[in-house]
Amino acid sequence: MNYHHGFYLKRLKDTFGAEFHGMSDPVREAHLFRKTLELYPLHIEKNDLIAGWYGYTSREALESVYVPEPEPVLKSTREKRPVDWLRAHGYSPGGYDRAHHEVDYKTILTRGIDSYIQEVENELQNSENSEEKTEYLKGMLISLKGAERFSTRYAELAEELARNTDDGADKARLLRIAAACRKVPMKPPTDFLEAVQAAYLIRTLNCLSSYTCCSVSFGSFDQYMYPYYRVSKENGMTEDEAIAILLQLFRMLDNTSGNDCALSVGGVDENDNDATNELSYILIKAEKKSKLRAPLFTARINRNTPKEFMRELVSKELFEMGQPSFYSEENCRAAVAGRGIEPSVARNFQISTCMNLVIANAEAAHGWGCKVNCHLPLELALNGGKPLVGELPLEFKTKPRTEYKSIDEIYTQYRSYMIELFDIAMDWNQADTVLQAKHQPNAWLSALTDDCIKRGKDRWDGGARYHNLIIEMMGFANTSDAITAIDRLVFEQGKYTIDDFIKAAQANYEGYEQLHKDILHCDKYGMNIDRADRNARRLLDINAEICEAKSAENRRYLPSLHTLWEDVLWAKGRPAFLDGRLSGEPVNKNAGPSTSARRAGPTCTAISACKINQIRYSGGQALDVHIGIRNMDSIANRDKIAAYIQTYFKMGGLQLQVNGLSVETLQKAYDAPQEYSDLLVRIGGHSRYFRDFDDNMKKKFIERFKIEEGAFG
Amino acid sequence: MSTGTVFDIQRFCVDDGPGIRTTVFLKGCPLHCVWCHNAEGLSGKVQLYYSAEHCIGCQICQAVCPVQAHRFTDSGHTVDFSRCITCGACVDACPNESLRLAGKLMTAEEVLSEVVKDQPFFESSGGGMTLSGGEPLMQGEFAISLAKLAKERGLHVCIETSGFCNHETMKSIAQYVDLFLFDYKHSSPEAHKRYTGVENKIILENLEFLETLEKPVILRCPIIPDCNDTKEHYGAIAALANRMKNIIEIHIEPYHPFGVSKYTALGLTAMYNSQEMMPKDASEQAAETVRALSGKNVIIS
Repeated sequence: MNYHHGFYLKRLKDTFGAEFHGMSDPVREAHLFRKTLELYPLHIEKNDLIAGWYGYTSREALESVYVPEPEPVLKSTREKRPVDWLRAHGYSPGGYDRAHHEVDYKTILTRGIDSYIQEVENELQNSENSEEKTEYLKGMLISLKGAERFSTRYAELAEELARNTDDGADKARLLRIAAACRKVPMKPPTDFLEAVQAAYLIRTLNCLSSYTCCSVSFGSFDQYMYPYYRVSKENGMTEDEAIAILLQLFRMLDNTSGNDCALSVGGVDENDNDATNELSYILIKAEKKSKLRAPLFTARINRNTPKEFMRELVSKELFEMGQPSFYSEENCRAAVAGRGIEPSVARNFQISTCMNLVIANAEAAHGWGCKVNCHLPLELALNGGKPLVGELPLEFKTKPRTEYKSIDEIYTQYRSYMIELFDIAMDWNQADTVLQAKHQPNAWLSALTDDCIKRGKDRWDGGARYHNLIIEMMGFANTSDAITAIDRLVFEQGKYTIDDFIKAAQANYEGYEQLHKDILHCDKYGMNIDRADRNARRLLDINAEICEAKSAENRRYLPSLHTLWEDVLWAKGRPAFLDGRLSGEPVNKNAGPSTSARRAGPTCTAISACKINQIRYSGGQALDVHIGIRNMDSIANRDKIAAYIQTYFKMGGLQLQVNGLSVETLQKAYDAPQEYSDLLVRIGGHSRYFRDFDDNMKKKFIERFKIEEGAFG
Repeated sequence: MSTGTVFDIQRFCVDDGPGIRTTVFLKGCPLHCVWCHNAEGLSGKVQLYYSAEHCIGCQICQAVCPVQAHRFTDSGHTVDFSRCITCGACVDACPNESLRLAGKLMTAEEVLSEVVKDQPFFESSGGGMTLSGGEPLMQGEFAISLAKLAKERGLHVCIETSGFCNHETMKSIAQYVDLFLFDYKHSSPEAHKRYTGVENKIILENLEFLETLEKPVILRCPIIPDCNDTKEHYGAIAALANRMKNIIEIHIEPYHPFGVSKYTALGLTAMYNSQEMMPKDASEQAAETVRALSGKNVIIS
């Protein structure tokens, strides 16, 4: 059964709005959350081992209460026009982020929600509390108590189903669910089933409190669940029973979140010893068996990760699902510490969604914060303060210029424009976030975030110790490649002028074919050529420095190279760039090179990416590579891929996404050859780019692959 | 300074020896195996390579060609390869990489500087450099220089060879090679000549010579339907492997048609142009037969 969700229960608000009229913002929002928990349809399916399904059983049922349009966004009082102009040029300032959160499951499971209620009640006794703080604490209390009603409803439903069945095994299963839901998440779980039940209910409450399931993650699941697993195993739970519980968890996740809920395996213990455990392997088995989009399976790899564990992760079944995403334990920790966080705290980082590194117990993470068009400041620098196409009627303090003698001068001007653009976007973002946090606070999530109870504040409004915004640097490789080409063709060879570059890009290179070809033949980031890689690093260092300089108090701007799928979607609306990229063509993906440089191969790409100061880009980034190995059953081949991954991390990489050959990948390469120009297929010592096969041979290869590899998809 | 003609340097190769390898493809081959899937390795000269798939019909190549090798008619773009002087003018002008030159003159130092860029991956995986072709030993002096330089840099060196070269060349290169990937194409001398253009006497002598040096060899056996997919040949492979202690592994390489289109791109005609891949069960049966008779590790690559 597919359940349909709609968290903007307008009808609910219409019905109960009057009841809560006149209340403070946190109390009103908490009551609406509580009402949601009391009224949302819940389900338990045949053979379920844990409870957790919710939502409407049909689209019609959902639409009877759900109005798709979100609540009217609270209007910022600030002037918005400059931001709107920036948006037209691919510079998205973001705003309040409901999604992208993760809580400290280890602590919450250990404590139970009741202990948070106790903590809030104690804090309410503080006679020095301001009225504002008292109201916020009341909101927390209502939200936390709402959780008990929610889990009890599942218990009641299970008991009712148990009463209506004559099957003894069925009855026992349902009563087991009922017992678990009468206990967790309010009290700490004692075994594996209860712990998984508690974690899923907490995650559901996180989703419902924020009106979204998008990017709500689980963190290091194999680590905090292991003690409960051991208890159950000692009491006779078999591996198959553990896998059955996990498979149901994955099915429920898939119904609510797609593949943006990160669940990690691997890592280190408090003494930095490898902490891979039995549950880590069982999770891999469950993931291979499930073949679902969710969860987003992530692997924390350290210097001592066992070879056997790598072999399990580097597998045909997982790679064909685009799983897992590999993270370097040591480098990610260094990146988090680089934010100015104490190493003892940084070591507790968790992986959240598709690339965030968070301190789950103490952070409000703005995961899809602000998209920065890296190419725009270059356009302004070279074109006298104007974009190449369209208008940007801002009054810049930077004095326009068009004549340059070196790329050093270009970088200086680039930096100056980037600072101004960044200030406009981030000031708007800050104002919008604070406004939303005040009027639509999330007291549930804040209660589970360290310091918020003590401060009586929303996590976004100064409650959380760390308030981080991810800044996505879109098209950085295209931009640095443009600078490399200008350096070569203008300053070194004198073959063209900067004006030639501008006119050619404005004409989408029509009528400028020779210049276009000359640009494309210049060195590019990602080919492991120092000259081009140096420019990428320099550009990114400038942008990182601007983010760091803007950071203040608990608010940090974390530069990132994350593009998700925006390298295609965002790029569709962008005109031609100065690196030869044509209008609408994709920009570079994540930390990878531009399209024309991808064919240098995975070793060049990896080495180039490690010339960037990745630690400084702690907002996260993945390097995506295609490995065209057909025979993934061979242990020798899997070891080679594992060696590739570990070498990348040894050289300083943070995150690596390895895409093996799959029917899906081959089909995509067939449909969109330009986006897969680097897909090299290897067969019996014969290597060719897939795009170089003729149509008939491409079809044959896919057909053969399906038969020989027994691939699903 | 030794120079040679190289037609490709491929990185992250996993089928050309242990670990992650960078494979250098040298042009020119004294054999002309009818099933060869690396047609650009046959000639020792630089050649024009035309991918019709990528041609957008802009006709710029026709405009810049000094010898009128390119023509556009109602039936499309045709290339007269006999006219081409490989000046590269059309390659420079082509806006969609439909044209390229197969082959580039490089010094051994230049090649090695490209190869060692991947050294971090060699170290972690036990990989290194592999020389391939064509027949790399057809450019014997260049191949020896390159292998020597690689050894001096501490790289693991493999060579993929047909074994068809003079004894002195084999003797010289052997001192710089850690592992030979040695082709064994046909057990019958007559059939060997029929399908490859040369007899296998020199090849077998060189293989025996490597045994005297105790150089490890992986025997690579292309299995081509209607050419050598016989029990007799499988038995001969096993017998050879049993006789020579230095043969550490046998690779069965079933025929695939993915190299056929390269012939057209070079203005050549494929001699064996079957579009069908060898059935999986047939290649598994071949491997199983050799495995049973030899007792050695046999894999299908």
